Amino acid sequence: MKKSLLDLVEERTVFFDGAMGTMLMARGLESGGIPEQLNADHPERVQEIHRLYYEAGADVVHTNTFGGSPIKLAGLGAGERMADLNARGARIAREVCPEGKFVAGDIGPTGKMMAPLGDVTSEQLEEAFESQAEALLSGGADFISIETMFSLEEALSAVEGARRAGAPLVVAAVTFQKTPKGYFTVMGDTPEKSVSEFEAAGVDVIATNCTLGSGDMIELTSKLRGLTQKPILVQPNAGKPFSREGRTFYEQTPEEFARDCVEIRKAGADMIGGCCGTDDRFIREIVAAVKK
Amino acid sequence: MGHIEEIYQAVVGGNVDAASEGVQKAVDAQTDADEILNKAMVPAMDLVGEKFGEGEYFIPQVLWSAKAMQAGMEILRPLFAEDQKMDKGSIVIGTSKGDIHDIGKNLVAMMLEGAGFKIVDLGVDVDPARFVETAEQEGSAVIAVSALLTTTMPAMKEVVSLVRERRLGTKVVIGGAPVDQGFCDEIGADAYGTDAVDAVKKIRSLLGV
Repeated sequence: MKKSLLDLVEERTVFFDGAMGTMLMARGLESGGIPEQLNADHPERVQEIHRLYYEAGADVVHTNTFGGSPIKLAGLGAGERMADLNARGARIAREVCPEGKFVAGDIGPTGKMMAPLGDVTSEQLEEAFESQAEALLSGGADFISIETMFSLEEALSAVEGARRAGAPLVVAAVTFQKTPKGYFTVMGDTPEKSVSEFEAAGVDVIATNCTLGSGDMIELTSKLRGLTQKPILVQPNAGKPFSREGRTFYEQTPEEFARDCVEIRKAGADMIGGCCGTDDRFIREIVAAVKK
Repeated sequence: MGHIEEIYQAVVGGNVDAASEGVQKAVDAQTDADEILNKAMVPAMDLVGEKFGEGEYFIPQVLWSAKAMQAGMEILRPLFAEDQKMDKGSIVIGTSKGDIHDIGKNLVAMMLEGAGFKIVDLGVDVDPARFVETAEQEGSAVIAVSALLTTTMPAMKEVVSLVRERRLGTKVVIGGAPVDQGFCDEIGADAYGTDAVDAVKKIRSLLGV
């Protein structure tokens, strides 16, 4: 039987991939549009990125389905293509996944606020995430990875949806901001609350990604380590993005990022990857630096 | 507690029902609508903005306060005479061409509404020409453009160029995660807001209101 992600993490540090958007843009993805549509229109481009990440040493890649929830796609007029785009996204990654490595079915936020502040209910979210997770698993995703949730409540809806879809394992991440008073989601959720609710919901891997660069993630990792015995996945941004003369740059180099990732490992992360601004060079550097 | 204080507390606390009850009571007691707006609701939203800036309030608290403010405004709006200038001007807002991320934009819109501006929300993925044409039709003082994706930032520059080309007095204010002062200077936008509260602050100071 295939070794599970949880078996692998018992043995060594597990490496996730870096950004999808950054890599797509570097290859001239049209601005705007629906990134998930590439799974149907240009699967070879998406697949090439997955392959580069596996070659760089990633054990896990995320499918190109971050914005693939039915709610988000419906907002772009692509709601009816939801199941197809997600299943294709998973298949594209599955086809290039080497033996012993993994495909994480990626679920991101819908961009909607929950009632009573917003107009979606937790039932609607759960149903939406369940159908996305089903499509991802049917296309060959090994498990579900929920990323960049700025609302713990929405993240928990996604966990519930993934569970109902029969996901054998669920990774769940909220994204924290660093404030003078500590780490909070923009909705005000603390790491303490996030970890305890994720644990209660049966999340297998407690994760955080995006917003923060690798430097700030070191401290946040120590904090998370103090809160849970579960495996922890940390995926920082390559610093803050900025744009000059129409080009986008990120503050950090792959080398700086990798040095911080060694500290993130020491602070207690079991799994490490990259978020916005990272590419295959970053993953290669992390793998080399952490293994040393 | 006087009506003004009651309304102020209701808005700061994000208590929608208490805010509309308070405003109704104040109106029934012949309190001037201007006074209710400028002595209770606007200062309350200022405090909410400060609390947000200091990390005491988060998005939910800010949105509840904005809802409480809006509930009060519903009652006040008919009381302002046509010629009386209740609105500080209108602001055209939307996300940059190609960008469909609107959480930040919605938050800024609510905060601006809370600060007494009239909002013309064009939604997401807004064509630069549409921003400018709408501002021209509405006589808007400000165009506010939000971008989350770095790829959609160049469209902000187009908005600025169009406004300058047509020699409109409209100010262009930009915001969003990848935007910074350097980019703002580079494209010649009038101001950049670091967050929703800062956006309101910058727009007020640009317009001197």
